[in-house]
Parts: sequence; C-alpha cells; structure tokens
Amino acid sequence: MVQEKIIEVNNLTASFGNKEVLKGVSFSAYKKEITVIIGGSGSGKSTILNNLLRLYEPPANCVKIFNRDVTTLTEEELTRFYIKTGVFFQNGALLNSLTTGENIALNLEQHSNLPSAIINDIVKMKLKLVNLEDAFNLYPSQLSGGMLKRAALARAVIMDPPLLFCDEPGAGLDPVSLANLDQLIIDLRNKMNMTIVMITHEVSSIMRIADKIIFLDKGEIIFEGSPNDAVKSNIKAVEDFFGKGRGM
Amino acid sequence: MEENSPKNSNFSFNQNVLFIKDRLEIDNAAKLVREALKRLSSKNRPNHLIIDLSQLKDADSAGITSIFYLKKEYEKCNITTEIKYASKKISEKLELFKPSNYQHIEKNKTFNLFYLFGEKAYKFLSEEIVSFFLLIANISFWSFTDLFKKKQRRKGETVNQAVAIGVNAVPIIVALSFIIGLVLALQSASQLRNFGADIFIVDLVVIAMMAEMGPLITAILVAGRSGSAIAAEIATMKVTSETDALKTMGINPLRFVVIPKVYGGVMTMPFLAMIANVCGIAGGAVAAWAYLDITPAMFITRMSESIYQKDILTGVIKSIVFIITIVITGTYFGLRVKEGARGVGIATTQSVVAAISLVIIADSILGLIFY
Ligand SMILES: Nc1ncnc2c1ncn2[C@@H]1O[C@H](COP(=O)(O)OP(=O)(O)OP(=O)(O)O)[C@@H](O)[C@H]1O
Ligand SMILES: [Mg+2]
Repeated sequence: MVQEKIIEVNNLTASFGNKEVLKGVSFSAYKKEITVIIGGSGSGKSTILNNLLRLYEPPANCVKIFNRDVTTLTEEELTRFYIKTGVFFQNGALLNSLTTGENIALNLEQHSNLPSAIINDIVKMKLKLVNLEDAFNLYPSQLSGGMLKRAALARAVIMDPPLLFCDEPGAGLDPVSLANLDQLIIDLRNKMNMTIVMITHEVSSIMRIADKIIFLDKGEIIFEGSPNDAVKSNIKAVEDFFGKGRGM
Repeated sequence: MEENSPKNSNFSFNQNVLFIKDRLEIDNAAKLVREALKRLSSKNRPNHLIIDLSQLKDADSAGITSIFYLKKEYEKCNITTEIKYASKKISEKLELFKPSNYQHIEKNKTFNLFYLFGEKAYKFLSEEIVSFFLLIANISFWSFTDLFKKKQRRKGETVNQAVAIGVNAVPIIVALSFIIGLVLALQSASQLRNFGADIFIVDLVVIAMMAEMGPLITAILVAGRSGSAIAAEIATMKVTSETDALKTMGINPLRFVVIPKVYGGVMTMPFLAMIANVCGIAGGAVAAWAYLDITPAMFITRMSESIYQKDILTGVIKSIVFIITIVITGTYFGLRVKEGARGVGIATTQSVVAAISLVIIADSILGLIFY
C-alpha cells in the first residue's frame, strides 16, 4: 500500500536577519505515522514547526500540507487548515484569562454548533484522557508546569484533528505521566488515524512512539530513519544523543 | 416502521431503538442530540432504549460524547439505556472516549450587590491598607538607606530612570502647560476687563500656575506616563517570576527596581514642575498680549511683584510628594498582580486611577498646610 503523504517539505530555508537557521530542509510525514523531530537546543526545530503552520511565511513551494502549498492558502482556507490541525506550543500558550475548561472548549464553541452541555462533556472527557479532570475550573496560573503541558495537549486534540503538531509535550513530566502521555498519543494515532509531528528530547519517549526520526543539527537534517537505525547510525551526533540520553 | 426520522439523516427511531448509521461527527452530532432530547419530552417515550450502533461506520470524540450524553440524559428520566452492536472500531472509540464523571462547578454568575460591596470593603480595610502602608515604610526605609550604599542597584539605573520619568516627559509637559496657561488667561480676561482690572491677569496666571496648576498638571501627566509604566513593568516581572529570580539571587527587588525610580523621579520632578510653570505663564502672557494689550514687558514687570518665594518652594515640595506617591502606587499595584497578562492590564489601569486620585488628595492636604 502506498502511504499518503500528509506533509511534504522541500528544501525549506529560514533565516532571522542574516542568520541562517534552516539551510534547506526536506522531509515528508505520512498518514498515521508519528514523525519525531529531534536535535540540539537552537537547532531550528521550533522554526520548522512555525513554518509548517504558516506562523512564519515560508518560501513558496517549500511546504505542502494536505497536498496544498501552504503559502497559497487563502484566509478562509487557512482557518479551515487550522481547525483540522492541532497544535501544542512549546510553552503551552493557554489563555491566562480563561479557566482550563474554557480554554479547551474555546475551539469547539467557535467552530461547532454543539450545545454547551455536550461541549462541557467533551471537554471533561478530554481532560480525563490527560488525567486532569480537577483542573476544569482552575486558571492556568493555578496549574503546575506538568499540568499545564497536559492541559495544552487536551486543547490541541479537542477537535480530533487529523494532523497534530507537538513541540516538546513531554518536557518536565515525571516518567509515569510521560508514559501515559505517550500511550495517549499512540491511541490517538491508532484509533483516530492521526498524523503526528512531534518535537521531543525524551529518549525513552522517542523509542516508544517514533515511527520515523528526523535529526536536525544546526539547521540541517543529518539523519532520517527509524529509532533502531538511529541508535546504530554511525553518525556521532546522533549516537551521542541516544547514548547520553540513556545514561551510557 | 420507522417513525420520526428526518430525511437524509443519519439516525432514526423505531419503537425503543435508536439507530445511528454512517458517521456521527462534530458537524452532525448536534442534530441527533436535539431530536433525541425532543423525543424525551414527548408522550410516547419508551421506558427502555437501545442505541443501535451496528450501522455506525465512524465517529469522532464529539459523536461518541453525544452518545454518552444521550444515555446520561435518558437515564436521568428513568429510561434504561443500552449502547449495543458497535463494531470493533467503534467499540475502541467508546472505550477511548469514555465520559468523565467529574462534576464541574458552574461559574457563579448571579451576585449580590450588597454582599459584594461589603466583602470588598472589608478586604480593602483589612488587607490592602495595611500592605500599602507596609510598602510605604519599606520604600522610605530603603530610599534613605540606599542613599549611602551603591550596592543592589545597577550602575546608571538612576540616570536611566531620570531620563525615562523626567526628560522624556518634557515635550508633552511644555505643550500642555502652555495651552492650559493660554486658556486660563483667555477665560478670565473678559471678566477682568469688565472690572477694568486688566493687569491682574498677570497675578491670576502666575499664582494659579505656580501654586497649583504647574505641579498638578505635571503630576497627572507623569502618573499617566510613568505610573502606568511602573505598574506594568513590575506586574510583568511578578507574573514571569522575575522578581522571584531576583530574590533567589539575593537581590531585593524593591531596591533593585523601585528605588532607582524614586531617585530618578525625585531628581527630575521639581524641574518638570518648573518647566510647566514657565510654559503656563508664557501661555498666559501670550493671551494677555493678544486679548488685553498687555505687552510682554509689562507682564514681566508685574510678574516680579506677584511671585512669592513661598510659592516656588511649595511647588517643589508638592512635586516631590507627588512623584513619591506615583511611584509607590505603581509599585503597589504592580506587586499585587495575580494572574497572567490580564492581571497586568488590570494592575496598570488601577494604578493610574489610584495615582491620580491620591495626587489630588495629597494636593488638597498640602494646599491646606501651606495656605
Ligand atoms: N524570533 C527570532 N528572532 C531571531 N532569531 C530567532 C528567533 N526565533 C528563533 N531564532 C533563532 O533560531 C534558532 C533556532 O531556534 P528554534 O526555536 O527553532 O530552536 P529549537 O530547535 O526549537 O530549540 P529548543 O530545543 O531550545 O526549543 C536559534 O538560534 C534562535 O536563536
Ligand atoms: Mg523549540
């Protein structure tokens, strides 16, 4: 079976001022796969994500998502693209003036005609998925760091998006919560056919969930392949990442 | 046969069976819920319901939640409800998206005015006044002590603050006080002319500006410009834990952030008030010349007779009191911030309102003292 390409990135470049942050990055993400982008801090991972989401303006013909060059999307198409896409921001980015429940409900309230009783039930169910039911009435400033992460994940998946982007969802979680989170991501992939692009530094999590790894170093992809290939790739930076991460 | 089944819909009722077919997703779940609840209030409602999912091919979390929601609502009305015949795929989703039993608290939207007022007043008296005076004590103490110690302040910070609070405010103060002096003189000119007391326009403008308007206009402008900035800066630092970071580095945030502002403000504020006086009087002189034919030369001669040293001194003292009030109020509201970005906005607004009110109160008290 030929897999359906959801994301196709072709020679993507990005720079801030005269500092080149991405030097021609190319990769694809396939339907129902979990693609993990890894690499040192400052290597350009978040920048890739911002370009895919058109939060930055990528050059034309570099980024194709759902078979469309994202730079050609009209305002209205872009809104529909965003509804179909769940995003988990690196710092959570929950709105501080709303409770967790209201934050998560926001997307449903704006983009569906469901009665509010059902919206509340959906929100509570999603909070249950991330094990955070008691946070329904709390404000983001009243949550701990790890709780914020989980609330942000619940918000990202509220619309059952076919495509999910996560920027370090696992950072700062204890090992048990992290394993639960990984299991949830796998469940969503298996049962909802989600395509997931994730940035993470957690080696344990990468080994558990990644179908494909993209290793970024100073704005270039130096490795692309499965986690098992990565461990024995003979590329020093990649082996260091996994070796050091496992405490060897 | 099938009854109550709208055309082309993905569900139908038959006696005590609810068939759902094809797909049940975010865009068509609302209709099902509405129809099913309508049936609940009709007379021929069953006392046992089977939700038959054998024909349901796909569903998303909104669809699954709607099914569970219906079950919950029916069971509230003593109708036993079973969800049956789901395919493997749907069963998996029923399992994954199981409903939560968590009871959330509805936000309290009704409120009692008296209760609210009473509670606020009590809180105001018991907590806020006390902490406000504590802050005043703290700032006064450190302002005095730090005169002799350079530590705990960044080099050049006092000068930066003097520039930010004082120097940068000069243009707006020049413009506004000139206009106010001009208008003040214009408004009084016709009245004075009726009495043939033209020359007293000089006394009026000079005394009004020096004793009252100059320092007050300056203070109100500075409260709007710098008071808000101080509150926003400190509130943001608090929200982003920068103040905590300073504390853990052994640096007192008050001394590091606030004291330079006190010094910078105290150093420049009297000069700002003087500038306001001069420009206001100049505005008055222009109006007097244009409207009452009092030449600038006459104006200046008369002015030297109507200026009292006491008024100049009062102006200086007033403006020092005002700037300290503004800095303390800004700091107080900045430190009191509770949650996030919205809190910063609230703190800023409150600080400006409070600072202007306190400045006017202080002005009247000082006015009584120096009268
Ligand atoms: N708005 C910006 N302006 C200027 N430079 C930026 C900006 N955003 C990112 N950069 C630079 O781009 C580079 C890549 O940043 P990016 O945020 O993509 O890193 P990252 O791989 O996500 O790192 P981390 O793992 O720490 O989150 C960094 O060197 C950073 O300094
Ligand atoms: Mg990043």
